[in-house]
Amino acid sequence: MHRPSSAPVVWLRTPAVALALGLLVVSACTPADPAMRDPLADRPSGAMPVETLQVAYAPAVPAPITRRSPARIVVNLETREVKKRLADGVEYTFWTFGGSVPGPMLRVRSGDEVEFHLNNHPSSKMPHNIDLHAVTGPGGGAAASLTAPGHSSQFTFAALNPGLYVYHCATAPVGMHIANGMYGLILVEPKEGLTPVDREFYVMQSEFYTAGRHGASGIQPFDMEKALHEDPEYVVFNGSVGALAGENALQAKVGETVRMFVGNGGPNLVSSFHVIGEIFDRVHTEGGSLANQRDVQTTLVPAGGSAIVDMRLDVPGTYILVDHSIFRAFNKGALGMLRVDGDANAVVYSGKQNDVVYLPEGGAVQAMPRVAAAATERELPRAELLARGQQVYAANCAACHQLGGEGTAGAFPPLARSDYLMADKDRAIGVVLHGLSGEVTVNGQKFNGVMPSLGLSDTDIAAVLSYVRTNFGNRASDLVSLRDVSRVRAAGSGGH
Amino acid sequence: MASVVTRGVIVGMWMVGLLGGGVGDASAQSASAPRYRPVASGHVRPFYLAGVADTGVRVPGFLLAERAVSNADFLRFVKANPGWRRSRVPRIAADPTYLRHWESDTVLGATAAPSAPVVHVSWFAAQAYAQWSSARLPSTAEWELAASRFVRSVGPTPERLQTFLIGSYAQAGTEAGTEARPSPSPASDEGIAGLHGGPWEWVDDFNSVVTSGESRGDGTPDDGLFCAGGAALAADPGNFAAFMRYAVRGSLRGSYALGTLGFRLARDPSPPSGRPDR
Repeated sequence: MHRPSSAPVVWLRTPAVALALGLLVVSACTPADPAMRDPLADRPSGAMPVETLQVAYAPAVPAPITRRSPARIVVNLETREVKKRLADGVEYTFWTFGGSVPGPMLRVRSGDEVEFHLNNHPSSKMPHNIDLHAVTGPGGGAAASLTAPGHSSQFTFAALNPGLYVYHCATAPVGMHIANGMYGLILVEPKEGLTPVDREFYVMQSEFYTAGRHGASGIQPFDMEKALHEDPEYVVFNGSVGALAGENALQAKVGETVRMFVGNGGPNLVSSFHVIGEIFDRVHTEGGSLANQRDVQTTLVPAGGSAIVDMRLDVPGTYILVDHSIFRAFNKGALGMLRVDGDANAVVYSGKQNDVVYLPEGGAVQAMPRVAAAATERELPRAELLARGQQVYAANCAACHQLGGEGTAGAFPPLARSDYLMADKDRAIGVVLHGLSGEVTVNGQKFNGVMPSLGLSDTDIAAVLSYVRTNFGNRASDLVSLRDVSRVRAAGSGGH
Repeated sequence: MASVVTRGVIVGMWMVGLLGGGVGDASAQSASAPRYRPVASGHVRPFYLAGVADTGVRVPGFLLAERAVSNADFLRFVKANPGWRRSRVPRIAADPTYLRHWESDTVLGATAAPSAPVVHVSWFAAQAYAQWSSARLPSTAEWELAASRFVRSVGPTPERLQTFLIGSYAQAGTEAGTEARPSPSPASDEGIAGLHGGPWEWVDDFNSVVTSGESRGDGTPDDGLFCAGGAALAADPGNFAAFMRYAVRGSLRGSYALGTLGFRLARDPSPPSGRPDR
């Protein structure tokens, strides 16, 4: 997002580009509407230069095309069935393009002739084909590319319309081939290229329908009933939970412009793509060739569709990529990270400046806040304490740490069998009392996020900690008492 | 499509004659050849219902081998019919992957267990083997009938069979030449093993499935099995397991010798007169 402080740079840049495009349009064609131009008009009468396409695997993007004339592009893409990680402890037999989910990103130029070879690995159980939405012709190539295991099909198409397109397998049953991971993106660059940016990323959302519930471990088979009811257990970016989180986070620097080529493989859900804390300065809605939108918070990415979003990075920190159908993000895995390094910019964003008690009742109560609270604070008997703890947990903690305490890879540490939680009771009380920020290591995994102070009563803190320390595989011998919490509160926030 | 099937059979029989593969004498085949199990008559709902009554097609009872043809079985055939050796088979009858998992023309070697189902065999080779064995390949309808009877191990509802089959098929592909192994799935109620979860199997009329390759358009009469349009004519668009089998058959040509594809033999209920029932 660019703010007024950085506006001069951006405003200078944008009209300059628009002017350049305008000149190109004026000089290169006669019809006024660029969409009506014949993309093959500059096709040479003789043989075209031949290039073998260099693909890139997500989140990497192939380099922008510098060529200014059409070429014959040879693409080799292999279909393969592989067993890989879907989430920690969860495996899935993916059907893939190029051995990965999503398949590699292809980048060609409008007017290119694409010679496509689809190679089905001999070990495949299934025949596969490919429907590229960038193809003009029946089936988008599918009719010409049904390929038995151990065979190779060839077809050729002209990349007519610029834009960002999904490709996918279209062999019957098509839903299952897509649900198992067979999709990717192909960018047909406009002849004049896209507006230059500092970094480009490839992000593709999709969902998985496993027989076991979210988090159930082991190799998980496809569940057709859940697919028919469009009720996935996993919604992910780039093929697995955590593929863009933690150590796999996207990296950029303050002051850079970043472009995300966002695809949605589906097979069923439409994505409400959003980056928490950023605003898309430019959006090519639905992946069209025109940057038709500015200043967008959330952009829809249809199943079997795409979007291109550009943003300028002004403030350092971690920006979370989500499907803003938000339960998918916090409970099903649709969560990624963009980590931005650089100097703070207090004009654009101050960070937290103050934290004071707010009491809408007014000054009289404000003078003695703890007295009113203390009236309801009491030590609870064990059974009541644990029951209360379970309620407090469900209401305040489960959204991030999950109902089973398993946490979310790369974002929220696990409480289940947690070494960090169990090592120090007073520290755990302090975390719930005062919140926690900065890097922690939990069960060998590093986390670097922020947990707020939740403003729970001391009784509730005793209850919820007693609950989590005796559940989720944690085996505390003692409970947390009201006296323990009061003692830690008295010691103050510097105590841990 | 009938004409295509007929043409394929004629070409196949011509090749069988050309390459050898006439009816073998009893001594050529060992007593370890698979036993045949009776498959009771029944109704099969064809995957594509166009022009067929909703009750499906009646399939008369027949005999089906209790297991797929093994490497050892096929080796005996190749030894008896040198025209079907790897080094001599014409490309029109089998593609270059024919028997590629064998060590040589007549040696199985480390990557082809004698008892494992034979794979890397073309439809023409399977036809020749069947003729040599005084048997035939099952038709699609026969194969589907036999492969639908799993009440004992799976339960009576079609949904459970579906789940069981998708689970069987979902395992990652393996280079079947090195790993083709008996299916982990149970035998059918009629005692026929390896129908699901192991290698796919050739059927006599595999090419009667009209797949255009674009399964969504396969809803028009001249295009049998296209991707989502395929659903328009399918008897049961939720039957993903059947979609998978038909997609496999639709992707094949008679010369293909896939590492994930073998075959088994079938016979009519009464053995041809004058020949021992092997």
